[in-house]
Amino acid sequence: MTPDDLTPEEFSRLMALPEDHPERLRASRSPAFEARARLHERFVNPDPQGLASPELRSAERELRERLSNVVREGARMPVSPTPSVPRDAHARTGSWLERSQASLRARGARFAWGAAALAVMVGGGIWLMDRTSADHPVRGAAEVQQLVLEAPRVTPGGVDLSWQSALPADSYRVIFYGRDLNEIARLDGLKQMRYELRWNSMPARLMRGSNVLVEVVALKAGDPIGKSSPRTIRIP
Amino acid sequence: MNDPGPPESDESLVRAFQLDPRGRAGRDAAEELLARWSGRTFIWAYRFTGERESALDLAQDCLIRVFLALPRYEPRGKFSAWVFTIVHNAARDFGRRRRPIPMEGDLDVDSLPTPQAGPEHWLERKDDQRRVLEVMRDSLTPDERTALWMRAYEGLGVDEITRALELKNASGARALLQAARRKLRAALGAAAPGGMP
Repeated sequence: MTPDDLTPEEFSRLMALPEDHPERLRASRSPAFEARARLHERFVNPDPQGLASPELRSAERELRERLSNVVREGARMPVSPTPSVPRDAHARTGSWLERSQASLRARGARFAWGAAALAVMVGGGIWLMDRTSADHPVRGAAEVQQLVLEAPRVTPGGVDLSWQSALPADSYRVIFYGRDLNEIARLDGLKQMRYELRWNSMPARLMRGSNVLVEVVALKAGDPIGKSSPRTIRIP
Repeated sequence: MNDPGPPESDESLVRAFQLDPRGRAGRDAAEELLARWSGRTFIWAYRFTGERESALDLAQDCLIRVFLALPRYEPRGKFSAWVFTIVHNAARDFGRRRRPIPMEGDLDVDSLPTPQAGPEHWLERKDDQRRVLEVMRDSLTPDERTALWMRAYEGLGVDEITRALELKNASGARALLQAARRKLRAALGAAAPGGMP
């Protein structure tokens, strides 16, 4: 059993079995499961380790506030794959995006980075949609495919970005956004479905020690036909 | 005065969310659920960051992942274990991102597959791996196994392991890892005259 075999669902299923269940006993012989189970116990019954109660309470309060925004934005997401989502939910994407964009613009000045970043993460790039919509020949999301940007893989010399193909793209563009969600760099004309950002030859304005959002756009004859959700990478 | 009754279980809150993910009831259930796990998640995140602000950011990231995964939660499992796996994976990824260049030398388990080796390596060395895992199981204490697992297979740093395992001794996980390495080498050496694979 490797760490990758222990998906949340599988680990959760195994942990729900009685300790003397044959399958649980078999799993317990794996160091992966054993380590995860021991850590789980510490997670559920933690020793705050120097965290004073007021500090913990204040952290909980702050998280509650931050996550309240997430839940509210998320509740308007059109992509929840639950059975209760109406079949026509995706048909409403355009109007939902427009509503979300309008809402974000109205509140724009009041949004700190945290809240804006949350909206970007949860809304699948609402804000970035604003930034890149000028690239798109037709406004709205229906014509743009969702491109899958894999989790960035850190290598000794940089970070490896890879994504799945978006047919019939003939090139790809990688765009980096800063904390203020303004574009800070872009790379055009990539023919492969990967790009390695090397720490020793980064595009100008990518600063060491910063967090940036990265997004990949698939292009056909210069027109965007697919776009990934943004991912965060940290530049050491 | 109305008795509010016992608090709803995590599972029933998830169900309430899944039944009405866009409505008020679903939203309230999700907020309650995230709030219920935010303290533990913050403490866990704090162990990986050692600092409040970063821990808040990491905990927030973890809980967003939990929220986004709620639609696919299946009630046949144990909810705390499901949340923990999501939180731990996110924290582990944070630890790896923060340390992009492999750490040199503090644990020289040079024959174990490294976290950087990738799945091909895992497959190529499946037989070796099975042997190492067997020896780990038979020769190491539970704490040593867990520490070694976290270091060699999950790629966590010594400090992160020390905090995650709540080790209070001065050398933290370092002593555990050194003991584990020593025992592992001895056991593998005894099992195969040629030494470690």
